[in-house]
Amino acid sequence: MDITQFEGPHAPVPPAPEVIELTPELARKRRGQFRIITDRFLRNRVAVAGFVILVIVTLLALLAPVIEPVRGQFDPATTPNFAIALQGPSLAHPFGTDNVGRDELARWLYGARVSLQVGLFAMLASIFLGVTVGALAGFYGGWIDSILMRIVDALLAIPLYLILFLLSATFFSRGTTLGLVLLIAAFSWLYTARVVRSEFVAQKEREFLLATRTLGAGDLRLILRHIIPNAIGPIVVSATLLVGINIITESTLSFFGFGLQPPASSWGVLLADSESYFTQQPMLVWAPGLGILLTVLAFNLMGDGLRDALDPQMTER
Amino acid sequence: MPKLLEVRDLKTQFRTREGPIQAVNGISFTIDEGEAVGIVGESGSGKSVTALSILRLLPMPPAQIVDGAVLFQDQDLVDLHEAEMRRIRGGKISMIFQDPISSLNPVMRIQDQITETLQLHLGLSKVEAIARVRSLLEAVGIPDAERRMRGYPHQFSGGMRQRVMIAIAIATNPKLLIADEPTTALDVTIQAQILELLARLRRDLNTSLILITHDLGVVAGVTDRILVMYAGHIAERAPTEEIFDNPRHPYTLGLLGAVPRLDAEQGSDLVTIPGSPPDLLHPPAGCPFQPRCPFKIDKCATYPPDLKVGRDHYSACWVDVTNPKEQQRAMQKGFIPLRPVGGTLAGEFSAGDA
Repeated sequence: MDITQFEGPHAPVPPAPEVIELTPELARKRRGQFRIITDRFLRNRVAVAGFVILVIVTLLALLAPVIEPVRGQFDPATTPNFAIALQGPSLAHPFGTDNVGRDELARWLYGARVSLQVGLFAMLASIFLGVTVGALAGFYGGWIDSILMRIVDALLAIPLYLILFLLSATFFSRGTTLGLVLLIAAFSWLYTARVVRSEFVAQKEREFLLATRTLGAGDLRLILRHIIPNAIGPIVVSATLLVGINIITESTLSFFGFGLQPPASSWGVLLADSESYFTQQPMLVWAPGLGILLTVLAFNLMGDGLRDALDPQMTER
Repeated sequence: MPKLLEVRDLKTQFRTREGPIQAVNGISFTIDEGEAVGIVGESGSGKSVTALSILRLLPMPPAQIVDGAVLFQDQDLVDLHEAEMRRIRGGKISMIFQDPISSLNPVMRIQDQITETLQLHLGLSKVEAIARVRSLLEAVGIPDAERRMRGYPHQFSGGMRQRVMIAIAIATNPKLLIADEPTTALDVTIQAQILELLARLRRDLNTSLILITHDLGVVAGVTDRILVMYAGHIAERAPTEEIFDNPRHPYTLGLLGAVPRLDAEQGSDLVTIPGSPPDLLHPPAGCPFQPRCPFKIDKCATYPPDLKVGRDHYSACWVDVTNPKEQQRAMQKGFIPLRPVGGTLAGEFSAGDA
């Protein structure tokens, strides 16, 4: 049977355990660490819903170049066709058409690609930066900690969108996806660094790290092989939340014209393009707006689910 | 036998806002190859700090080795380069900790934690290292090693985890094994098994052993010699039987007297050493035990030298505690003489005088 450990202050009083002999058959039924976490995640319906939404959106984004030719359109995302401008939803154009007659669904699908790309890659970059800075600060403490964390504080004190608009308009190559990714990552690693630092501060006094040191392990090994795996829960959670945050940041930048430049599309660009036509064709705003809302919500729900599933206080339940 | 480790006048401090705390205050001892030495003392006496000073694993700052030398195979570990120190740790000197529950990484498989040290020190590949894990686990008495090595620490009981810790510690066949209260967190029945395992492995591998404990019963069966520590000093050091049969330091007498005994009179109180260990921020001048010592004399205001009182037996005390006159004087201050367990004890005295 599963070894059920009741640890921690929230633990209920354990019922008298049934004694069952560990037969080979039962041993096979024992779940590995990964199975335990997956099982726990799958039991959280809301988180699974978030996961399903993400899978659908991701598939749509990935398959955009495949779907579009099937629907018989020739580059509908960029080719204006004034004859059909501002049409309502129809079979040919499920999301309608925009003010220059481009198929809104096609633009939405390509927009999803950009939004997800920016969200994911900016997340990867900021996780890398945030974990590095947080690990160094938390592990070494002292003046390294002070300097790094004061830098974080200082960057957090700057009004985010002001600096993003400014940098986007001046230094960064405007309108490229890579430029946006780097720009967003440059300011979204700060909370990750804080989370990772506090996790390291809590972890570094743990006895097994001293035990590992007595084996002759160096700092790098301790950080990479021992502390980060123990801190993976908060890191994964902040990664999922970051994707959502990054998508919103990208949309905001694009909405105000500091992000991706038309005719390229992202959900933020779609919103910006359609705001003037909201009264005539509400679908033009609803489609990208709901896209952002649902995707970000899905990432947050999944983040919550992962947080619970990865909680080390809960063992094989 | 050739000398393996010599600690010479080691002084370790902790710097605090209020001033330095003298955790280890000028201790000297040697350990021969293959010898087992027990370090005994109550909490805060500097036992663990001594061990961690040898391995230079104290957080520095606030800790600092201010004086002394730790000669290991004629190499001074105190000013060894950190990279070389890392080769010593786990390679030549291994350590086992008190709490096996928290000494293993909870998210790593047992086999990976053992192969880590093999890869670090013996330069084995992952595959070669894993091949050795099984025989190591079998050597420390873990049944069904082949299957269990793929498990995680939470699937092991406390005693089994301590066995895993021991397997990790002996994986590289170190010259010296330091066990810091290895049985304190375990059930009494398991304690004996672990001690027996340590004793057997030491013989088989010809490893020297430092066994740190506050429990005199733990060291009795395993060690060749005992160092009794108090407030950062070594109060007494002698072969194990000598400590039990012929203790010469008042503190050792107190420790031995405080061991609960089955043959004690019913209803009698447990014996304690009155007072508490000194505040190491402001240690008393002279002998640190004098505020609690029933044998105290004026001379105790200066720290006594290591007086040779027998073969390989040293005691840092001005007073001859075996002298009946001194004992009588001490009894007026509450000293309860030790009752014999068989042989003659220093505290043996006619019961009517108490």
